[in-house]
Amino acid sequence: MLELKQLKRVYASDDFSSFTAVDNVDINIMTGDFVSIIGRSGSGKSTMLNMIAGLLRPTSGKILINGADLWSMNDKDMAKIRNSKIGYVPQGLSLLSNLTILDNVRLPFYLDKRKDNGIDRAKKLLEEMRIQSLAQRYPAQLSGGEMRRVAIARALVNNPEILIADEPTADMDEETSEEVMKLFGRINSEGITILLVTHEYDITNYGNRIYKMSSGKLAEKYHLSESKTMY
Amino acid sequence: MGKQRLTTFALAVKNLRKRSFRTKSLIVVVAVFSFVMFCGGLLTQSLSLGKNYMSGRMGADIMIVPRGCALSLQNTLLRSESNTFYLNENLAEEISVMPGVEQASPQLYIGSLNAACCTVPVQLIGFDPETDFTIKSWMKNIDSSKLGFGEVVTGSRVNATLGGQVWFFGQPLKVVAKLNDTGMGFDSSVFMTLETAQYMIKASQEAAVHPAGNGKDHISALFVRLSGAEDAAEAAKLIISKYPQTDVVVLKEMMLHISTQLHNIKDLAYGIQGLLWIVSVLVLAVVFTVSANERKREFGLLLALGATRKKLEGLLIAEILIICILGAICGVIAASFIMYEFRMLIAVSLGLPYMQPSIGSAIILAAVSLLLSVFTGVISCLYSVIRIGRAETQIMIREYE
Ligand SMILES: Nc1ncnc2c1ncn2[C@@H]1O[C@H](COP(=O)(O)OP(=O)(O)OP(=O)(O)O)[C@@H](O)[C@H]1O
Ligand SMILES: [Mg+2]
Repeated sequence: MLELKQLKRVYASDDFSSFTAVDNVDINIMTGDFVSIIGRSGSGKSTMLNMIAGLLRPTSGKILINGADLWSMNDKDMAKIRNSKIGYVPQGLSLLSNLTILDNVRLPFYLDKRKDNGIDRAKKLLEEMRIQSLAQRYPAQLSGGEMRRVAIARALVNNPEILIADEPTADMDEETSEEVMKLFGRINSEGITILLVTHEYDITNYGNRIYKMSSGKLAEKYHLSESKTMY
Repeated sequence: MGKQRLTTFALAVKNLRKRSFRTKSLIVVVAVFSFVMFCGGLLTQSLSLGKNYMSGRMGADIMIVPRGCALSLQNTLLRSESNTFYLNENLAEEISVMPGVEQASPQLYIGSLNAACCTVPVQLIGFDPETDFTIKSWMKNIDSSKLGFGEVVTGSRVNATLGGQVWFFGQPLKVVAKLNDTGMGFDSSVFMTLETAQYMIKASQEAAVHPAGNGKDHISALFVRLSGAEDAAEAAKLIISKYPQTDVVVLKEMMLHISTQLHNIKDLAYGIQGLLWIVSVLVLAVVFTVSANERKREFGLLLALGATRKKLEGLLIAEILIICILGAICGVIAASFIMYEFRMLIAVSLGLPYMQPSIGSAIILAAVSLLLSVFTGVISCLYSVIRIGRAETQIMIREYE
């Protein structure tokens, strides 16, 4: 369902040097896969995810989503994909500070021009994340871990085909992080493809395909094609 | 609360509420702009209207006053200045038989002290309903020939009730009619027959307010209408040479003078408006650009969640429209209030005929000010909107991480 073909991103520096953050990456992710990518800081993980999420233009190579070339689409089609096919949990703080938690979570609903106000769906997801009590607060009044969970809820609000998460458990204690990973497992078992990036090794206990990224190159560590017993 | 759909408008309102200081400051900028636009527009319109109204109705080609009193006459007519002066001779009959004179009508001015009724001193004007052709034109709905002894018609700004009394020099006068706005000094004048006026002079002499004139048939000014072919300037020269103790005001010259002043004021108003427009555009553009820059991350995130760039531009424009419309409404309301409350003061201090336009034209002017403010807002945000449309999303998110 998601295929990267010779994907490459080169950052130009101020001087004439350039830096290849993602270097000819090939990967073919099937529907229902749970892919974990580990790699050290600076290895190019976020760069790759941003290209997949339609936020950063690849220098060369292709990203195919259900066979369609993402970066040859027009603004509108791409927005549609970002909105309803992909659920993206960016690295770092990603909530809109002007909106309440509830509004943050239901924002993708509005962007999809749905008639529904999205409140019920958003509340249900907040409940699943065990943060329903925070619905009327603003992001500035939340802890890092709580904000991350809001971002995950937001990514799921439009029932995406694939959930892309960039270090989703970064600010969480062990227990909460395990809870979130279990949630990812449950989401995956409902048929949603998951692509997860982290630099914590223990998280790779989850997922059926584990990759390692270093200096922009991606290498498969192992692949459990049938059984997804790891979670 | 929070039950509504997240439309572009709702989102814009939420954003503006959260940045209330920035929002309020921008509203103030727009309000000042629309305030000046509306005031300037109303001022120039009122002056033009006043001038046209006056020149259309004066009817007199020349006005004869005592030597040195030309300015007093102008100030009485325009500034509501209260003046008393007498023509020493009974000129009316002599002038009215001069060749080229079609009609001559005397008027008598008695300046009053501050009367209880009014914020500015009231001018008492005696006129002769039989020969009058000036005052009459402001009394379209009033039959001035029926004005009896002790009866007066008051100007629109004289605070008197119809059928009631006004007191001058210890004498009660009966208010039988009220004039509409004239846009001139007449608005704070009280009109009466010459007979009543002469009686009032006696009363004022008894009250020791005004010096006694000599002779019984006092008049202050003679309004003269010439027959078509006569050149007013020539006639004026002739009269001055014949009666050296008089001054002659030629209406055409007076109107020309008013026109020049009007043009100067208009130029000044346009200049201020233009300058302020440029300043407003610059201030708004800078604030929008800076804040759009600060909000790059927010916009990037919106894009990441599936907003099209069009939607983002829509959001930005919605915010600006809300600011501009609110600001313009505040500005126009403040301006209408001030221009209405102080219209007298404005008219008097300018010393030009001043006639506020009808509610209809004022509403049109308000609408124009509003549109102009909105247009200004849109112009000023164009640059930031275009920039948002072009920036690369991930870079936008990164820059403030
Ligand atoms: N806009 C940019 N311009 C230039 N270089 C960049 C830019 N963004 C990232 N880089 C560089 O590209 C490399 C990869 O960055 P990236 O954010 O993808 O790393 P990462 O694997 O996500 O690291 P982390 O685990 O710390 O999040 C880094 O060395 C970084 O310095
Ligand atoms: Mg990263």
